Amino acid sequence: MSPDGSTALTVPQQPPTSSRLAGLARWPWIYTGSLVATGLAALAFLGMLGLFAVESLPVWRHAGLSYLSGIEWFFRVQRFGALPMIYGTLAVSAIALALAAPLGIASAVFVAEILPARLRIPAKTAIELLAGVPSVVYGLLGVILLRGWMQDVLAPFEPLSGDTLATAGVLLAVMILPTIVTLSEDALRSVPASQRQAARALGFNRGEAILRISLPQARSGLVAAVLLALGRALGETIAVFLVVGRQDNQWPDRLLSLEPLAAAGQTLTSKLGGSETHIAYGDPLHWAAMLGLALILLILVAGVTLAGSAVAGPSSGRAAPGKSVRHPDA
Amino acid sequence: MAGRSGHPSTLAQAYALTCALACALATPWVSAAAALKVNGSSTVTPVVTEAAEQLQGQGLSIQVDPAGGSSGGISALGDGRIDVAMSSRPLKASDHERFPGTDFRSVAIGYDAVALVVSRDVWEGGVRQLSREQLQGIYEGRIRRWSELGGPDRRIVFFNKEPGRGTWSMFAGWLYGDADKAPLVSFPEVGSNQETRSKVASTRGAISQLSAAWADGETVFALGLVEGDGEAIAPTSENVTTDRYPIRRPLLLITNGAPDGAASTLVDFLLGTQGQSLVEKHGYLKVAAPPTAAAH
Amino acid sequence: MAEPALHRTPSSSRTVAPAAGSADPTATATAPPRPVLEAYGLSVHSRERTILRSIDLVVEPNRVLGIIGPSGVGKSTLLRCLNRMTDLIPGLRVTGEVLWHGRSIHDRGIDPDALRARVGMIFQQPVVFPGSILANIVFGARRVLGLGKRRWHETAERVLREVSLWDEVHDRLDQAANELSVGQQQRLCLARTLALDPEVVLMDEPTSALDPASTEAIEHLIQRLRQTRSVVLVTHDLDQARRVTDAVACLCLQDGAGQLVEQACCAEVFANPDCRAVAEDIADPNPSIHGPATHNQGARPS
Repeated sequence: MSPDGSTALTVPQQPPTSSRLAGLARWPWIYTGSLVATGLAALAFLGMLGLFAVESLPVWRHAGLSYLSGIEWFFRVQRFGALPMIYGTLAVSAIALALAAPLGIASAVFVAEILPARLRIPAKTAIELLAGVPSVVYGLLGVILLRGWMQDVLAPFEPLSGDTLATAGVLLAVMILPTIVTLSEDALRSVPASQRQAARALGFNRGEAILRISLPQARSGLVAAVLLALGRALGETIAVFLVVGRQDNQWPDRLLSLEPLAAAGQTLTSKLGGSETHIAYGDPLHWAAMLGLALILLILVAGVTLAGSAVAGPSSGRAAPGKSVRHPDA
Repeated sequence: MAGRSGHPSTLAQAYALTCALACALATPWVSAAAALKVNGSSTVTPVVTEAAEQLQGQGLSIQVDPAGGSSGGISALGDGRIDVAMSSRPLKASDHERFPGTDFRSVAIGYDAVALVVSRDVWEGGVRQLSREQLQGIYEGRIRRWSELGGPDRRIVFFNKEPGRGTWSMFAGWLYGDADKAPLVSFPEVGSNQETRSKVASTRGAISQLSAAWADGETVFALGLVEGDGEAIAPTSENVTTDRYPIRRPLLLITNGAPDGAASTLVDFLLGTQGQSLVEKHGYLKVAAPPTAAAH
Repeated sequence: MAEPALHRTPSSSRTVAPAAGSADPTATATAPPRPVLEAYGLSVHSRERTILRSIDLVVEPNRVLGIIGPSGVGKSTLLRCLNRMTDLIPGLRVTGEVLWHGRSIHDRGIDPDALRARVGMIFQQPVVFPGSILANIVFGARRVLGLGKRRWHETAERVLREVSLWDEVHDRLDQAANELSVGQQQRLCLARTLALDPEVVLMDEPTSALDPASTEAIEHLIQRLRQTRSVVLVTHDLDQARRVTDAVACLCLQDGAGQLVEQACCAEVFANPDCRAVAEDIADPNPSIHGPATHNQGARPS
């Protein structure tokens, strides 16, 4: 009913229901289509997981749990131990995060809070261009520029060459930095300006407003950004492949020491990205061992991605404080 | 196609959804065109790639991919995934055993030598040749510094070729009589010739196995090999042609059964004058005698 | 009244001398008390236009000053000049003088953050921080005044009583602040500001988003506040102005910029013919459609 009481202009509508599904019934194709697509995606992932699990069964039967805990990989005598590669993957990703997370969040703070508005767009564009650079380009830059420099930097540890776990970690840090900056900047900007304004009006200076208002309120978005960047780091192949050294059986004597990081190593992705996969194809056990590596990697990345979504999820639905208003009561 | 209320009409949505699904499903089929698939050794690849480009003018579609090295190519051929395998090592008994149903036919279209190359600082530090025993010592980790070999006092940085590479098989075969008898070692690995040369050139004290055609004498330097009490034999083209240089390998095209159709055209082209000049152009050695496809 | 220090200090908790107690409004002094805030020739320019032109303003101690005018004339901007919140808006240029106890607030030695602790501000929409009611109240005080944890509860009780919220929330100080109703949230924001013990509280249409009951509560609050400090209140509601303020500054648009017509007590201001037009305009912007306006609902630019 329009204000003057006439009904001439109203569009006939279905009776309002409280169910969103009922509303979607007006668009059957979208409903069916999105259901099918979602189902397919979920099935595809579970199917992949199942496929790798089944195809890698021979190596699980052959080596049992020592496949995960063994530290020797000599395929020619059918010894398959993935632990050094799991260590390599985790070490390289940890280095990348340790370097990129603080720097990325600090840059995001700078872009979101300090940079004047007219410089924000160019800065964001530049960062997003960096995020779009293909991995292989980063890998080649790593080979050309980073290896020599890292060998000098790591001189106290006397690495044989510039191909080390640390080199791969540094290269990965550069690669995931734009991701962290972009996502963190979005998280910071989603904190309402009224919050910062209210803090400033209380006498907080700019730095305190960032520390006490922006960062804490953006926390779940920042954690999600870091986790998603970690997921990318875990799965990065080409760039790591070119600079990590690809030396098998590098298991550190002491787990948390720095020296093994200054030596060549092997990650799950650098092993899978190498030519051993092609050699393995003819040999069922060797092939199963390679697929087992893929399975481990898949589970690692899926776990981190799920964690990232879980952290980001709840916050996107919460009402921003200061805006959450109930109906007035006495 | 806005409907009455401004949203896309049901028909438009159906159409869009169908298109999207069709594109997603069609993608695998689109890429599986009827091209001749050639995989294998990165040593042979440049020659075959250029041959393929020249044959494209005659209407042939040839896909050349160096993925997997010689062993990878042979495996793929045995599995029926490709039409022609490129290999820089001869077929082994184990290849026949693994693929009993495949009738491997190989044709040599040229020859290459595997050189042991070192970085500039090692070469200029006085190391110009190595014996088989010395190389065994390096490979087994018993010899660790160049000073033990008459060179500078620096650690030996051995980049091992990926085990699937023909280069590695030839090297290990020469070093231990049979590649399968090589001990189990772990060194940093390098893959393609490009990567090998680049890493050896940019690392002090480095040594690795490299296709002789790639040893340019400017960034990396090929050592002479000493066998027994013999003199050092450098991998010059004369030494390789006359079979004095011990690590020589054939460049093979391998098919399942006698080559026919597009594969046959490719083989004939490469054995002809134009093809052989390509082989030479890429730094390899021509085939000496007229070609006959032989089963090994 | 001792002049509180507003100079830049290196330490993180600013040592600001607290306001020297409540001045007795009926003290007989030989000289009239020094105004807390004064503005002379205050102009504000953006890149495109002049927003405010040559405003003179006086904020007396323990008085409530109202600022009225039509929409868009620059009332909020004027308010923000008084505690240098205009610094936070890019592109604004402020000229003229604003004096805090006789000293220009744009002096180089003045710390604007310390100024804002002395000149608090409440906004149209209440802005509560995430966290408990108690956390909100001490949010500013613990940082700016270095309020120790042991004194949190007593401070909370003091300010919550001052804003008449203590009885409603005293048993749930640990509950989330954004579960309160709008009216309660606005009072909480006021309490949070009062925890810093400011000498002046600036209020930008604090009741325009509230229901009548909460509005009345806030108005009573303002009346009580003037016993201990000064209030500058931007309002759209003339009746509110009559009820609550001691003096009113009337702004109007002239040549595209806001200008002061008169600052005086309400009766005088509404007697001024120029201001009466403004007054009528606010009171009844669209007499043909709406009935007589009582108080406004929702946010409007000022």
